[in-house]
Amino acid sequence: MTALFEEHLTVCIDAANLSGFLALAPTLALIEASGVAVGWLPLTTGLDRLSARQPGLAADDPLAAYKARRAAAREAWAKRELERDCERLGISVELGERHFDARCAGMGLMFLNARGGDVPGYLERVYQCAYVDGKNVSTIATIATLLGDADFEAYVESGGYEELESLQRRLLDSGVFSSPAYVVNGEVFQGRQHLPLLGSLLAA
Amino acid sequence: MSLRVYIDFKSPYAFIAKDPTWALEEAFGIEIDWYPLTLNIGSYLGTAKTDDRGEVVENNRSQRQWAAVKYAYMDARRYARLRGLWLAGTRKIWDSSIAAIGLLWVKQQDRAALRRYMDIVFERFWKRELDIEDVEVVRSVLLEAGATVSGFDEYLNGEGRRYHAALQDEILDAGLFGVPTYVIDGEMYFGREHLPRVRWHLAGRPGSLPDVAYEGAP
Repeated sequence: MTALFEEHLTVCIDAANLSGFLALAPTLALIEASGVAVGWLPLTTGLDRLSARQPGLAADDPLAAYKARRAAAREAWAKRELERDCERLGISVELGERHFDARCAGMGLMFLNARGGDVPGYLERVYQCAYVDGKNVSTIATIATLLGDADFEAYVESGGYEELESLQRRLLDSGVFSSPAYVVNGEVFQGRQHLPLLGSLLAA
Repeated sequence: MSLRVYIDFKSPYAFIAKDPTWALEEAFGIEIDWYPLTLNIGSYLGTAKTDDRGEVVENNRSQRQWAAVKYAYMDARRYARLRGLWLAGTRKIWDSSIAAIGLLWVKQQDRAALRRYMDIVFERFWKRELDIEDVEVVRSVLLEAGATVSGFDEYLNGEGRRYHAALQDEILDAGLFGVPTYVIDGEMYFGREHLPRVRWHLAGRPGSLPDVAYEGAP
């Protein structure tokens, strides 16, 4: 089995999620400034997927009322953050709040990795398609069009899903669970808020 | 322009945010209104206890919660190191309400004592040198910080405890759920990654909204 993080910097990114769109431009700027070798991996696994076991069921949980109030507060916060994120990207909230099954877009990234293709250019096209043009990037046909390669469908059908699933398990085992994640010398940084520190580390 | 900041002494993120947050006072000529937001961590991250060797002796956490907790401490530690702070992992989830009521107590008295109290509690707690569940310990820190302690016990068991409880209700109703949280004229920023935005807001929101960023890189 090949090593997951072969390059000095590995960027693990959800190719069909607003978090990745927000991080792409500053990440590319960091890469250009540092001049380091970069690997890209698709991250389609949210933290929610790690375990179905959740704290306390509402029916017998003495903290149920507290949890419900806290969850409502978190939801309101997430809505406000979405508004800020969309403001930064110059898109409407209606476009920004859309969710996609990220597997096809993730397989598109793996497809490009296997062929030595232009991953940043691909990601820019996927995010543009999803969040600016308002199209659905969950389908094989859309991703094949964005890749400009009709072989993508055959790649998906010849074990693409299994390969992606296996990669997601390995990323989870390595402590990577949130997009975007950056791995430098085995150290994991989750979230674009780390970019200033990563810039210092890569410049050193 | 008013800035309210909500903290919990048992949060490593609040600890790391403390000094850059205090620095806002001088930078913008403001007086921060500090409040305790006493987290019920077990309700969303499960509970666990470790022994002196760091071995887990009690565990009520899912794989998801462990992954989040482990990453959070690792992440907090690396930024603590950058700031020259010592951050030892806790062995259990602490009840920080006594230290929180101590904050409410000292806040009524003197700004210098408030800052000193926060420094002592945060720094010693995260070195595992301070039992924040011990009333005697908290009282002695108040004294060391320069606060008057006469009447503290009555406050802790009466008015202060009631105020703390009411405050937690009010905080949750206002949509605040974590620390550190910054509120400027009703606009909420959760997490120290929002400090660039807090500064931008305090400066009168010039230009476009800045991105989130953890500061403290060398």
